[in-house]
Amino acid sequence: MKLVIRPVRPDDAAAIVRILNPIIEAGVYTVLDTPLTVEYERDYIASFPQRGIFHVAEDQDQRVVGFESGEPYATYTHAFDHVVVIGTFVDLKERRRGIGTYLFEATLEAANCKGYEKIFTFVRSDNVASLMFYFRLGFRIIGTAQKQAKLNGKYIDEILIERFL
Amino acid sequence: MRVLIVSRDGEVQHTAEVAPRDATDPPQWTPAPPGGGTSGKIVFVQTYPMDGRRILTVNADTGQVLDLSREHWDAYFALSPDGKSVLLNNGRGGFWLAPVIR
Repeated sequence: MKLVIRPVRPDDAAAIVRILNPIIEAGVYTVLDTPLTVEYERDYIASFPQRGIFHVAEDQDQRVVGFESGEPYATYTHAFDHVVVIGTFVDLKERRRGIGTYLFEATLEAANCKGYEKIFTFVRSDNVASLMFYFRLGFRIIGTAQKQAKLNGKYIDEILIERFL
Repeated sequence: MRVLIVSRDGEVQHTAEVAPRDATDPPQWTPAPPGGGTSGKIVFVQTYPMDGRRILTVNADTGQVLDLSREHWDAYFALSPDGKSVLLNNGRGGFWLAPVIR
């Protein structure tokens, strides 16, 4: 599969919503629980933090098939300026084709350029495929936040993982 | 499914039959030793569904195949980039870490 990884643009909003909403609606991959609108996503991209990292993967037909974004861990203190929190989303029909790995390579390079030292994220404990994806990329498991999410009345643990640059 | 260990110049060094009737995931390699090359490298292969999911290794030096699976283990794996541990998943939501001991 030939892919182009490039920074996101506001006009990618529709494609991102097309990828993300089925993932949200599946209810088993992410703690996001409300489908997004294109307008919301366009505003989100337009106001993305300057130190943020946001790439999309385009296939040979210039169709967006995945994206990965990273934001500063917190902005209320400079103590976490070296930590970026990421999320990775790949079109449900295009999984297991290496798209996430290519996106992560771009994120890693950008994180270095932007002065981050560590990448951090949370994975639903019942999304073991995602945990294995990040593990293969060099993330280590720090611990489990128990009952961290509550979706449709059901508690879900989250696995905390990190990778130093 | 066969694993072929191929040299840089395209010569097949070893052929290992790892899942004659079944499918595999893309193989995962332990990292190159200091100085590069394939010496000492191991290829980890996930096969399924022959007798349940299995985890096999192929020694790049000798072509020797080892089956790391246990009966009814039925596990998926991910190899860490340093080749020192595997994350195992029983397919029913549980996971555990295991060191790679050579």
